[in-house]
Amino acid sequence: MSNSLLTNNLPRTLGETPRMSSFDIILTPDSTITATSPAWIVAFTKRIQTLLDLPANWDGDGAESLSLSCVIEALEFLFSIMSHDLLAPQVVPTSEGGLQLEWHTGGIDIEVTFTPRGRANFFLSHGSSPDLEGEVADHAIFLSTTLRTLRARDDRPIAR
Amino acid sequence: MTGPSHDNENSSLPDITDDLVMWRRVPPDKVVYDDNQKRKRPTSDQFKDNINGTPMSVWDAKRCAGVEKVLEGYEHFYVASVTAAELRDSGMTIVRSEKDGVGHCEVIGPKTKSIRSDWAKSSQWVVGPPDDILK
Repeated sequence: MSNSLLTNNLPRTLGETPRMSSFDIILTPDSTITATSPAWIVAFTKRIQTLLDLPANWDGDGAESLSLSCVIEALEFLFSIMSHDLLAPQVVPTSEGGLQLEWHTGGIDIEVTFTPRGRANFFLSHGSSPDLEGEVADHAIFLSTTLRTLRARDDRPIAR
Repeated sequence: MTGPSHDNENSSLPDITDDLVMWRRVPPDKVVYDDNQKRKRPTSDQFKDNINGTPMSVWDAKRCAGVEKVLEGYEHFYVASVTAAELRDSGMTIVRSEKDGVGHCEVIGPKTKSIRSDWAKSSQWVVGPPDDILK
């Protein structure tokens, strides 16, 4: 994988899977504890519920129904790299029965693909820089830090 | 770049010139909002070969019998366009197959993630999604 993109505000770290907190726990002055789910998991869950209802051949070209194992794998990925305030991915079903998580903002395009057969991989496009591709398992910190960069560049409020 | 092509297998059918607009059917679930482009567009995943191994289908906009024909049986789908030149510039060969009707073509060649992403981002809606979905 070319590292030419890893400049300016983009992450330089590649390596092991980070562990992020995916829930906010708030302790108020009156000693009330409140736990909230991140907006991205609410959006992801809602979208998945719709996609799980897709019948076979939903695309007219022989697509398979969404694989539950891909959903679980995608969820594990999100829990491993997403902190509470990061942008929710757009979730697209693939013809093979997998799913693709997509972020298109801040001048960057990130697509993470989970397939029923094979390992999860990512694709990153950033202006005129060479596109990057690789296996998710080898680039979790890179992806997590890039998503933080996207959050910083995006001035939209987090959906609640 | 505009001119005749020699992609066609069947010489009795008209050439596919570079300026020809090619239509690709898009299921509603394969639309994303691209904040970089400030618009909805097809996902890159929509521009790949079929899972049974047959090449990606497109329709010659001039020769097919209109979007209604392309969407026959798929009335809730959308239609996006790319030019023959864009496909060829990515190293593709376009062949008239007509197996799905007049104007039906197949796009033959390796469709890398970068290539599919470029097509998705440059594609234009012929029949697009309403504004009230996704964003």
